[in-house]
Amino acid sequence: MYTFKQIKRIWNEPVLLAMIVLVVVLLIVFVIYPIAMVFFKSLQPTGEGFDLSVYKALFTKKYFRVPFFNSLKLGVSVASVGVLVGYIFAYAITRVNIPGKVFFRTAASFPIISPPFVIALAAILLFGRNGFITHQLLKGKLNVEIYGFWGLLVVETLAYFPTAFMTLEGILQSIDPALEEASLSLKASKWKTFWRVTFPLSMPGILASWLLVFSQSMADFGNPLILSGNYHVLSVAAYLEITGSYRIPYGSGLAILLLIPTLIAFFVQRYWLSRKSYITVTGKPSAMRILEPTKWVKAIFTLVSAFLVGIIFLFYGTVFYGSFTKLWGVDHSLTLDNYRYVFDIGSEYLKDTLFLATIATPFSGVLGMITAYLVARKEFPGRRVVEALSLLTFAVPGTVVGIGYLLAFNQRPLMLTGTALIIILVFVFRYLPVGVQNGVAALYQIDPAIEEASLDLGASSYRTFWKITMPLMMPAFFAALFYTFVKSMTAISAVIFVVSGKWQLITVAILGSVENSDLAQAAAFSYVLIGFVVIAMFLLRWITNLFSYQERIRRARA
Amino acid sequence: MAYYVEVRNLVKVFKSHASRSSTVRAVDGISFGVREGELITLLGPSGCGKTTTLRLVGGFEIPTEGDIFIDGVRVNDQPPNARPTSMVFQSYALFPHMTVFENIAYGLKNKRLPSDEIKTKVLETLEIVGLQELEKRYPGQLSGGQQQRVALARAIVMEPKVLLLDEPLSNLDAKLREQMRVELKKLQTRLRITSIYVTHDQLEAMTLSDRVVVMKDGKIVQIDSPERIYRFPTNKFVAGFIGKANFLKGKIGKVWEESCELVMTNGMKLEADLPKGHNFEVGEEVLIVVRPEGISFCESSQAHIVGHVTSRIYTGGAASFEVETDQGVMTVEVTNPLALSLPSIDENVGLSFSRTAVAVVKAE
Repeated sequence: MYTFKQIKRIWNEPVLLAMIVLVVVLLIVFVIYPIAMVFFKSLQPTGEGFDLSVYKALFTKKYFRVPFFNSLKLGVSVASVGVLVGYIFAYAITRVNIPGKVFFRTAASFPIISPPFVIALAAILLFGRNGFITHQLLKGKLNVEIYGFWGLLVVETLAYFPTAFMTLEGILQSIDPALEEASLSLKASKWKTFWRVTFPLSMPGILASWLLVFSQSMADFGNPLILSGNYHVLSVAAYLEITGSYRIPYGSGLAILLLIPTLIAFFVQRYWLSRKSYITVTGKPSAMRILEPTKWVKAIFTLVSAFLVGIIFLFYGTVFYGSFTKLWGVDHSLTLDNYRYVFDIGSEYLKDTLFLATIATPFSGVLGMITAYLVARKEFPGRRVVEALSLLTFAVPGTVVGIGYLLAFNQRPLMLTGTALIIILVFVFRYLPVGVQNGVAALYQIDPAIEEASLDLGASSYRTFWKITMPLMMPAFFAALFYTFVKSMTAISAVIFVVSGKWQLITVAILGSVENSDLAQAAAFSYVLIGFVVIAMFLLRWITNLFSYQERIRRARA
Repeated sequence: MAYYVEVRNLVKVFKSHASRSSTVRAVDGISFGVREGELITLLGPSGCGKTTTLRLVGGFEIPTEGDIFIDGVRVNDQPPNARPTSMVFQSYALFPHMTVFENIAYGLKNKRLPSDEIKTKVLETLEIVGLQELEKRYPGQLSGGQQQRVALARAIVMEPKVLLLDEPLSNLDAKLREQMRVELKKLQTRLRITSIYVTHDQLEAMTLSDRVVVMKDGKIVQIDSPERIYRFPTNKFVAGFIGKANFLKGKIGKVWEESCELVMTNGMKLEADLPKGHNFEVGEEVLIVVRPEGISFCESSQAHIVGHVTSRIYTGGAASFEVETDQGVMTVEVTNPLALSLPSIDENVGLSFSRTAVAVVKAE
């Protein structure tokens, strides 16, 4: 009876109904269908009939088994080290009151918005065969093998610890310092207070960020592609199976093996851990009173943080410097040739990348907001499923998405291979979850009574969305636009399967340069890309100021 | 007389948050009516279902069972934007990105009125609520009391058939609340909009309403005018919830059509008024409700009950005493305390009850 009444109500709002249907259809076609195709192909080793021979081979042949365990080992290591580093960094910033917090926080966000393989590139420039440190400084006296597990561990830790840092910073901030003060007043030492109070309370955050970093490391494609050497990992193995050996069923099977652990990590994190949390984030950070730590503690945390940020600067600085050298490792005289090349020969790459990202961004943003609105504000059957689906691509490694799109859209009626559209679609749906999540978070902060008031004053739910909800969601919307744009510009793992001769991407060009050992050129491409990201960031800030109502109110006050 | 708004056998069942299988009957089969131009209050403790009832009338919740009629039309299936109701929200729910003018004009724009008419109406309404000159401000620039007026203006500018108010004063501080209460009363007397007002504050309910609907656990306990609710509560809950009350055990000695003689446990007798059509019988065990402000100190020989003073609190315009008796502690309130000589702590006193301060409810 109840759901019948709900449905009846939805029928009375045709626009709402249309939006629900639209979102559901899009999610099925562009999220579920491609992943299902990967699964089907892995069961069809000969192209017809279904059997499990692919999986049998994957588990028995060493050639296939190794990447699986390598990926797991790398994922677990990166997650553990990354969370440790992230926790120390977050603790230093939220609890130790180190000087230069804003600076440290900003520096830690570099790896999040930069192209995925800048750090790997830096590692090669510094520690590779012609590396600055290994070759110039140590003259080959110390044999550092940057290609392989250890290199990947360092690079991925640097690349993904910021994720852990940001999660943990939020968690630590939401632990009321009064709890620690209570412990101290009950005569526990600071050391004991940390282990008995602070640490247990941050445990859900630690587990959550561990799983996040684990998934990111498992799904990483850019870094292992140029840095894994003989240490084969799943994402690269799947890519090589498909583009190198043309063995699609095996590539698909490897992709599924990659998908399973990341999916498990995602669902454990989202549906189990989130319920275990002791803390409800109110969205309103309370004024932090920090107990001033001793000089020594402060000095140690400052040094550790400075060391970490120093490495980040060293890596990014090296790539920057490298982009102006003639031939890295051989001729370090400065030149602008690399940039000339980028803007001349490489201009096609720049134009294509900009074009595709610019088209995809608004679509992803708007679809994200619509989905968030439906999920957070409307009651309809299957609401939870829609939410889970819209967030699913978060958990699905880019490699799996890429293979899925490759398989799903190379036949009628959706013959998209080789078109710009398929790349745009990858961008739109791959970065949709961020829009949805930002939107849902924003909506949860808007009192539902505000929308009810609009309905009550005679506006339809469609009009309410455009007049009330959308303006209030603007900050979240712009943040989603920025994220989608940046990620589209720097994407590699999924799109590498669907790029064609007609449409070229900067990231693909960077990979090409690295493969040709033209590291200086790769560095120049990377910095041009970083330049675009920085411009986008300022543009975003400007637009947000222009359109956000908070800004208008601030001006009205003045 | 036919009701303008009528609610019949309304039931609303929610899924429980605690466990998935269990459900909560937030509103459990209630019926009441509101006459045209009347203001009724839904009064009750938190969780009694009053807000849910209001939201059902406004169309924000779908009833599990039962019907809602407004002006003779069944509105169950109408979404809020199609119902002739306007709501004033507890949190005000002002649109933060719109100015005061835009907030109030919003509903009129939805009605597609011409813009000059919108302007006239908005300015008129701003004057009614006393907010001229503030129309260009944003809600964030207003004080709590001003925000509350905007919320009210936004609802009444729609000229709704029914105005719904969900604890509209609960976010204001005590002084401001009192002031707004008086203003609301004046406004209601002037505009005579049919209104349903939800509150847990009995003072608000008593001040503003033509009739009060007292609710508890999703059910209606009593519907009556404020005077009658206070004078003739139907049970212990109502007597205790509305106003302060001392409860004494007793028995009905004699009974007439509109009064009775009560026999207290100490053998003392007193007379009390009863509502017409009561069903008390001679010999029945009852609870005697004695309002603290209707008790005065007297000689033990003339007292209904005796005891000794255990506390004495002076609050300026009144003084309140606790007196320990063999029936338990009784509260006594004396107004204009400076004019009387009052007992001190540990003094033995006699208490006498004025007839209008005594009510009778069934023993539970």
